[in-house]
Amino acid sequence: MTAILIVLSPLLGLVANLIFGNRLREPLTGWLATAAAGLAFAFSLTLLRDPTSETVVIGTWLQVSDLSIPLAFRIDTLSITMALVVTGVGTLIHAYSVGYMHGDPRFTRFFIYLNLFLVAMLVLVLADNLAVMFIGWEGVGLCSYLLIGFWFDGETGVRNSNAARKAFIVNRVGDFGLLMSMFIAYHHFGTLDFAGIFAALDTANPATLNALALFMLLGVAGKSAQIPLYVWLPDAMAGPTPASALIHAATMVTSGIYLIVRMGALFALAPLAQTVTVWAGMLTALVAALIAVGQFDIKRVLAYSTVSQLGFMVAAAGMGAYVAAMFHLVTHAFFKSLLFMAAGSVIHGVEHHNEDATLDPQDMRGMGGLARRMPLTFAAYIAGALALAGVPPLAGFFSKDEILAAASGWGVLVYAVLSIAAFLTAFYIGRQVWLVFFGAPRSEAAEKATESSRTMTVPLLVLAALAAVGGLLNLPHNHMLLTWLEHTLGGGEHAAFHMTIAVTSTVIALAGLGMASWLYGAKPFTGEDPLAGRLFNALVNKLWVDDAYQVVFVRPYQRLAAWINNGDRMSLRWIEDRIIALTQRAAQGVQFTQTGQLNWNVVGIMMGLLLVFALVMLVGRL
Amino acid sequence: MLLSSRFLLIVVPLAALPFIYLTGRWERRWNVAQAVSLVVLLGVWGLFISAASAVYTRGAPLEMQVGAVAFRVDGLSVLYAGLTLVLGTLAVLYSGRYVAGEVGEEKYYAMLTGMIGAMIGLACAADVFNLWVWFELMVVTSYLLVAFHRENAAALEACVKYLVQSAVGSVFVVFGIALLLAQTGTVNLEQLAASTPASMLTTAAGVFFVTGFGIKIAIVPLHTWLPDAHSQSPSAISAMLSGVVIEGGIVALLRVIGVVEMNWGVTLMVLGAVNIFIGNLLALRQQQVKRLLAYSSVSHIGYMLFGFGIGFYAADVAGIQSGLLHLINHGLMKGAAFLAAGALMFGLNTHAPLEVGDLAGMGKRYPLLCMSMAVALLGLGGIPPLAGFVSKMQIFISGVNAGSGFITGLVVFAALNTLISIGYYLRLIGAMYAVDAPSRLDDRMNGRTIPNTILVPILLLVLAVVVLGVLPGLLNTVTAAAAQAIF
Repeated sequence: MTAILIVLSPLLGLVANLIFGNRLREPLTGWLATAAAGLAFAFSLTLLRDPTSETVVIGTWLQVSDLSIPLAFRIDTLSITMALVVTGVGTLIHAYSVGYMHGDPRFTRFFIYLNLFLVAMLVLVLADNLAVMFIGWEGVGLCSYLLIGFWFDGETGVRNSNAARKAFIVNRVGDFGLLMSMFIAYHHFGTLDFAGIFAALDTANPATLNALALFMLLGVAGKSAQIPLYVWLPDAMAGPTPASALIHAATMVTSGIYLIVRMGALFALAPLAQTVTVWAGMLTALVAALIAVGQFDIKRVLAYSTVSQLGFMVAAAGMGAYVAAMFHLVTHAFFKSLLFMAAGSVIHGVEHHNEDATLDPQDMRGMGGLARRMPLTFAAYIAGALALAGVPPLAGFFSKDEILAAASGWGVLVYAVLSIAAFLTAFYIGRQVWLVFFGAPRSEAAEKATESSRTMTVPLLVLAALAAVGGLLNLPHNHMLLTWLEHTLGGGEHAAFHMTIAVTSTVIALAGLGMASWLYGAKPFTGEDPLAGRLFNALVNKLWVDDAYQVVFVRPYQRLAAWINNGDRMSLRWIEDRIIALTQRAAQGVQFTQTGQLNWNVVGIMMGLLLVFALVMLVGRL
Repeated sequence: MLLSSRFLLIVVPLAALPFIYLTGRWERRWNVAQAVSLVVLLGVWGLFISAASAVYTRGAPLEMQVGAVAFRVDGLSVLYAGLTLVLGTLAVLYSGRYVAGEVGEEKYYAMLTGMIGAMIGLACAADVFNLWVWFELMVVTSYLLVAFHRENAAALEACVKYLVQSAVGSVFVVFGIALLLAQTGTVNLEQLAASTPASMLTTAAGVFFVTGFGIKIAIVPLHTWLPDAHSQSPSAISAMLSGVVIEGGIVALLRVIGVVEMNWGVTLMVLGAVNIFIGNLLALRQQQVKRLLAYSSVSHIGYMLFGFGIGFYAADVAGIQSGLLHLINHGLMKGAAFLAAGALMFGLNTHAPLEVGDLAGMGKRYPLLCMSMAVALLGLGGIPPLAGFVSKMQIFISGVNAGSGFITGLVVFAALNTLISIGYYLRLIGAMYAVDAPSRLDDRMNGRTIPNTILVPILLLVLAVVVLGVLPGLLNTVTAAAAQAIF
């Protein structure tokens, strides 16, 4: 029952805003949406009392011969954890947005989208079968599209809309994978219920299971921005920063990891898929961390960082270290949404006094010295950055350490690559902190920047506290999250706390931060990056992956479309025209029978009588 | 049980007919006739809900008898009477502002309420003669409603055509009844089903039934009266005619057709396929919005017949159920579309036929109304996740499940026809939102405000179209019980 209330709260919020939005206006609509999100969070909290699993069937959604899909929610410790993250972080971001979106002409619409996103995301994590989950899966994709392209007009409108389309289209590739896996599951197991699939897993042969899991992995790669489908996420930063924090850092992009963990029983029986998952995650973690080093846009660095951190989680989930993956998912939701919102605060502060039309308020080359101008934002940013870098005792340290510990048990190569990625993580976030907050201001706007309003800074500080102490969730010796998730995931081994690994990763983190401060702190930044060179240039150009996709997929497809559209000989267009002409001619022919003359109509009746009689004589005995 | 209180369900609306007329005559200053109609319908709703719940909880029909006239309330009665009441109540509500101040307003409400009563009677009739009487009563009430705008020559012409052709059909039905009565000596449907011999005369009776009721159902080539009558009547009446009245013919046909022992499946499927195709072609080049919607009804009747045909052919309840679901969905969607078209005419303050070109810029002036119209049209076109998609898909699925190459071919044909239908539905939607001439737009912006009594019935229907599209399972009990009554 509570599950329904959780989903219903944001739904009511958005309906109320749809109906009364015009009358209430800013900021009431924003607070209404925030209250709806907060209500969902409160309902989710009440579920913490009871770790037993429960299925809430609302009714039959689809019934077609022997396929019956119930509209059902599943309440277990895994879905509760996800629901808490979604609604908890979601509520803070709603509140933050009231300040951030202040004065936007489409203020109310933004909150309607945010509430809609919460509805879809909650359906996704609470669903009891793949089909209902897919509703949420597509729903969050739609909201992501709407929010990336939220500023579809103005100077950057075309760029933003293109980013939105890119996200949507790349995600469709992933959705194809998820759909395929649903078809396979239905074909082999006759059901799409999670419990039903798990119960029937041993009836399928390994090839089927691997195919099922690999198609699912394609879906994961789309939604959670893994190689080869990660390219949409950095562009998605075109959306308003709160949307980036909520959707493209904390929640939606983690649904892929949630899916792997949810389908853990399947992946455990599909070793090939597991190996591919680990490799995909590991390579994504490394490549994205590398690219992040070469970015100058404050949000792009964080975007690639998100891709990289998602790689850590996917790798962990592929190793079967589900608790580690979920732990990192939760702590990452805290510190990455914190970083995004703090970055938003920075952009807001700089933008506010920006009179130079050529200056991009998101470009870190135009910042510097903001620590003094925006002390609260700075404090929050430092907490997030240290947590991301993995400095003990902040949240990121414990969760990343669990992943590294699991990796050391999986294979040396994986452990080594993930460690390098961890070093790069500390380095790029250190670089960012130095470029943004330290040194001398490099533009007039940065010089005059002011601290953001209370509605923005208060959520920042709450998240900063969470990022600092989030590690408590699963400390090496109490394993709160582990025992909680065990109710759903089954007994897992208590990952031993390896002192050597912990020390090593601490050293790596500090080394990364140290190197960043040595390179970027020692002498004033001039606009020329100290790393500048051919390798760095490759990183700035994102390793030309986007360009390669353009050449290999986008342009040939556009050419094909143009050819089909323009070819006037034996192309599809020609066939299409013939069909249309034929139908039109047939319609013309029939039109003449509709004379409107009563006599003729009665003739029609007599003909009808004869026709029915003939028909019955011919076929009535069949 | 001889005369039970259940009987009131049929008696009340008919008994109210003169009362509504007289109060309307007596007090003209406010819509007293409408108010009385609404109160009467509210009472009928109460009686209906009580009867329906009794049918569902008992799992067996309620039998009633007055002298030699037998009534039976079963699953099919509940389905059809329920749909009639939904559309009828909304039509009465909608008509308030729509026909306000017209000559004969009180007759309009009296006839509309009487028509609803006749349809409930039709749904519950248990002998074939009685069925015919109710059917005729329904048609007679509708004649007057079609010609409501009596100053309009086209409306009168439509009414005359409708009258003559319906009368021919009525005679055919009586022929059929006579042939059965002559052979068996009874008109009771249950007894007929048990005792009708398989003979040439029986077959002829069946043919007369299909043709006679077929005129009302608008089976091609018996459909020629339909576009005139459906487009010339006031829009609430168009909604009733397309949404439930022609379906009354289907209900009557489903009741009697089982008496004649032969496989009607192929016949119905072929007639259905022809209807789908011809209806679509006729709609494709149509320029008047309401005529276009009327032709679309011809095509949708085809889908229903197709579903029933599959059900009879394969003795598959799912086929019957899908046809019944489409009957309900079509009633809601077409009702919404006609009411919305009428609302646009109200906005333009005209009784002249609404042309597709007149829609230009309407989306700007009446955004909510045009969105509702667009949803209803997309539903009619079978676009998911709207109601029309679900029932069409269920018809197609039962067709493929029948496992015959011929039927699968017909399914493909019907599915391709959906494409043609999209061709004219999208034309309407495009016309509403396209702004080709700014001068025209200014003109549009001066349109009358649509009152809530007109808007709300449309919105309710559209809401139902969306909800049934997402949760088609909601009507499972209703269609299953009705299908059980047919088999």
